[in-house]
Amino acid sequence: MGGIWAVLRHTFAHCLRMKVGVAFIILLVVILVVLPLVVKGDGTLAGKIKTFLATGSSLTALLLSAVTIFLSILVVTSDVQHKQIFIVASKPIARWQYVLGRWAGVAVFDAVLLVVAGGAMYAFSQYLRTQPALNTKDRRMVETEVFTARDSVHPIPPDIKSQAEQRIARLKEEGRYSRAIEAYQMQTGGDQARAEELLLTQIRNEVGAELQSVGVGRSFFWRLEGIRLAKEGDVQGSGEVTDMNLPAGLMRIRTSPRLLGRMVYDGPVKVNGVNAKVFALADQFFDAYFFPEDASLPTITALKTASKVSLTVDPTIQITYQAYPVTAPPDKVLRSIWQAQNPTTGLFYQEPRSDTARTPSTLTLSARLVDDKGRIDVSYVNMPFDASGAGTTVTILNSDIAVLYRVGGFEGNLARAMALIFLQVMFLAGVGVFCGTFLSFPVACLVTLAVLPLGMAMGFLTMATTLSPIEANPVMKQIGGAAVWAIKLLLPDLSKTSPTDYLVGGTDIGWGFLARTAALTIGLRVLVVLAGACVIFSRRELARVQV
Amino acid sequence: MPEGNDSVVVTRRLTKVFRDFWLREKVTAVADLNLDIQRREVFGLLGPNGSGKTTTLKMILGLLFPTHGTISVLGRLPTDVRIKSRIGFLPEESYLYPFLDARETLDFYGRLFHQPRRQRQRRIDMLLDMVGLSSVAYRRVGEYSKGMQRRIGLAQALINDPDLLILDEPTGGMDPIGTKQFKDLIGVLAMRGKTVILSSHLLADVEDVCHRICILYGGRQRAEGSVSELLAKRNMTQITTEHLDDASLEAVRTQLQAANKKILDVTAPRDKLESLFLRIVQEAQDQRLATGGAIAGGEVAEFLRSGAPATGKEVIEQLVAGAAAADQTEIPQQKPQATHPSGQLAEESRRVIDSLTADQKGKDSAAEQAAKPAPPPLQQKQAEQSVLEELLGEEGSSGRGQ
Repeated sequence: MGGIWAVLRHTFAHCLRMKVGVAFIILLVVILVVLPLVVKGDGTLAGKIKTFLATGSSLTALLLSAVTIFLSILVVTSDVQHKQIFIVASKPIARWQYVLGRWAGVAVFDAVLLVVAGGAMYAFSQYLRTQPALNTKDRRMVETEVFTARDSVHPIPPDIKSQAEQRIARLKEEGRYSRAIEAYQMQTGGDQARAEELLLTQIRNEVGAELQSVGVGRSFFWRLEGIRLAKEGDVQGSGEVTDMNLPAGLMRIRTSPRLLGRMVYDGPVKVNGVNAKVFALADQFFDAYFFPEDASLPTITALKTASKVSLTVDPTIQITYQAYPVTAPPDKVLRSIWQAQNPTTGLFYQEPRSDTARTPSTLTLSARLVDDKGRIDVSYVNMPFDASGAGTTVTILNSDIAVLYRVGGFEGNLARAMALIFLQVMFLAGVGVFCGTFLSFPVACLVTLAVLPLGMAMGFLTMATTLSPIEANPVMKQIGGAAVWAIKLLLPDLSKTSPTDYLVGGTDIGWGFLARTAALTIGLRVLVVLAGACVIFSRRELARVQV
Repeated sequence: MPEGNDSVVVTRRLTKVFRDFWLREKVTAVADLNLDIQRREVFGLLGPNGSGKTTTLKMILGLLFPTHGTISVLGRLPTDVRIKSRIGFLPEESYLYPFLDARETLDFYGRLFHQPRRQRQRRIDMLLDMVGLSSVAYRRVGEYSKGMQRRIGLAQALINDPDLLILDEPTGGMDPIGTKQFKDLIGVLAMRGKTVILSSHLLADVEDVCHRICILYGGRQRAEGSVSELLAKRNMTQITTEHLDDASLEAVRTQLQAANKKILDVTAPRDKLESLFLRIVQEAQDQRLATGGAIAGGEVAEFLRSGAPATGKEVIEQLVAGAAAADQTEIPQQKPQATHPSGQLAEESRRVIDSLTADQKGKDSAAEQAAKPAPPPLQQKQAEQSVLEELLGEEGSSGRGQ
């Protein structure tokens, strides 16, 4: 280990003194400083912060990947090219130790850069958080959709398969099945098996569309299960009474934007421990409504203007959805009523909505609507366009509706996002060192750089190879299948492990996901490329002909 | 060539053929090389450019793999990591990391030997002092002159107190002070039982320090043997004495004529340029004149001297005494196994003079055709002084008295 440690330290010093790290930090900080000043997003503060997080995390990953590729290749090829390896190889260090030391040195250097980058991102995002929001909804988005770490659950998918089978059985009973197959056989050139497959696919699509669509005036119902709310529970803070009308049960309280962002209209709030409802929300204050019996409590009646009060707000959940109309509405707006109910307590909430068609929408609810078993009942009523009753059938795919709930804080999520980037660059460092052991600097750079877009396009490649199975002869099919399998195994799907979507969506990067990614990246991919690098470097001649 | 227990490097029919991308034979760098380098030996590899010296060294170090033949280094394959802890290597150029300073450079290489921190730091201090770079230890190696880089390169080669020291063109770029100290160091290491393999173009360096040499040409071994065997001119005798007046000279001439011998050349001996240079620099350093470069190094690092015989200690004391006194230096000829070339020359000189004074019948006039002889090596002085006194007898003594 001593040899690896010595090479690691040396590599770190090498990276540091090449000024690449300093250049990276300067470039990143300049970009991160400039970004908050120039980004606009969709005009909202939430949009601005999301744009900042998206750009910041993408740039960090991209710049660090480039730096890693450059450094990991250079520290090996430079030694060979400038012959410093002659002296190192004459010392008692195995070549595999040298390779591991080089890789680990670059990885440690990356870790330091990531800490700096992550710190800068956190600092500037917190600065943006203090900026004025466009409105209450904007502030709520900032607090509940950006500076959070949420998990999500989708409804249990409809049983399309069994319903499709039932329909086929019915076709057979009615004697229409053979005619339908004959029609498909005209497309498949007489291939009956293929024709049956095509018919089944069509029926499944039809059943799926029917089960996920709703006509005008009718409603969907979903029960969502498995919601595991964060144990931290309530959000607490303080405020100052600015106005009060206790006979009407109303009290205006100024409080921090962070707390206001977590309040929901008509949602519960506790003032000095007394239950109230949020009656109105603004950027700097909210109006609390007390029921008469609560308004007469001494802890409330004793309050005056400018009194300090303690506030407790329930955590919130969000329902995200995307609705597709069969016929486009005249103003492109779909009208609906969303209802949610706690299956155990019966607590009910209803909200009329007007959402732009085909656009993701979010509905924020009190987390009290989730029962102790982690369940919530949700229904969607498809309302007509106007009073005439005209409307359209709306499709909401099962994958397009989800309940998002807070499971952690932004800080932890940002740290895990940086860890995902770290795993990515550790893999690239491994590939760089591997290429550096037998290729010259420019060639190795080219090869390693090619890995980056390939990794980013893995999602597409996976889909393409799944949708278009190789139809060649069996041998070629076997070879092709093996090649695709090997590529999938060795190349990480960077599109899935990119932290940008998680940060922008305020989605939790779970420890389980991180551990799986780490195991696959370090335990398999990096291990394979480094093993290859060690074998090649141990077997190659380090000197060249000079006769 | 028998392989003894003391063999440090053994090659058998060692061949290296370089091939091009299409695996076509491009050039044979080394062909059928048989070497048997013994412990305590200073072995020189000589040859013109491209003769295969460096390729041979690289194969000994495991940087290149033989095409045919075998190599054994310290009883193992050259690629065996276990032997590397006993090897020191100074390449033909100082392939050091330019972004590290001298101390960091030595620290890095010291760490590769798993040396404890305290021992490492002590050795670094001693080595920096030895190579005269203590005052610039925190300057980046990339800013060093070539000679200074050679010095730090030498220091890294010695940080593990190696049993086998491999030096490729070691004095290239070094100033005469460094060269002198370097050669002295090799002498000290050889006395401590270390093995040194030296590749050099500088024949004087090789001649001064090597016990045995191998001359390569075109990758093939052309000659191999001890320096004295290969360089001995058995048909001439060279005597150096104090200044002789005409009468004394005439007496010598008469004596030689009686032995049927001629004096071919009579000149006042000249100081060696190396000695003059060393003396001037030493004087400047004594006056503490400022310099931004390397200074004359200190004494040989303690860990490199430890365990040396008493005679070795004397040598070091003489080195410390200063380069100006180099002319007066007398290195004892004690060699446990291999005989130092200068010692062999002194013995040879005594034998020739003995035969000269005993046998009055000269045999050979070929000396007339010989070129002007070079000044004798410093180490021969004592032997030659006694020979001269013996030769001149009373007349010589009276001559000195005048």
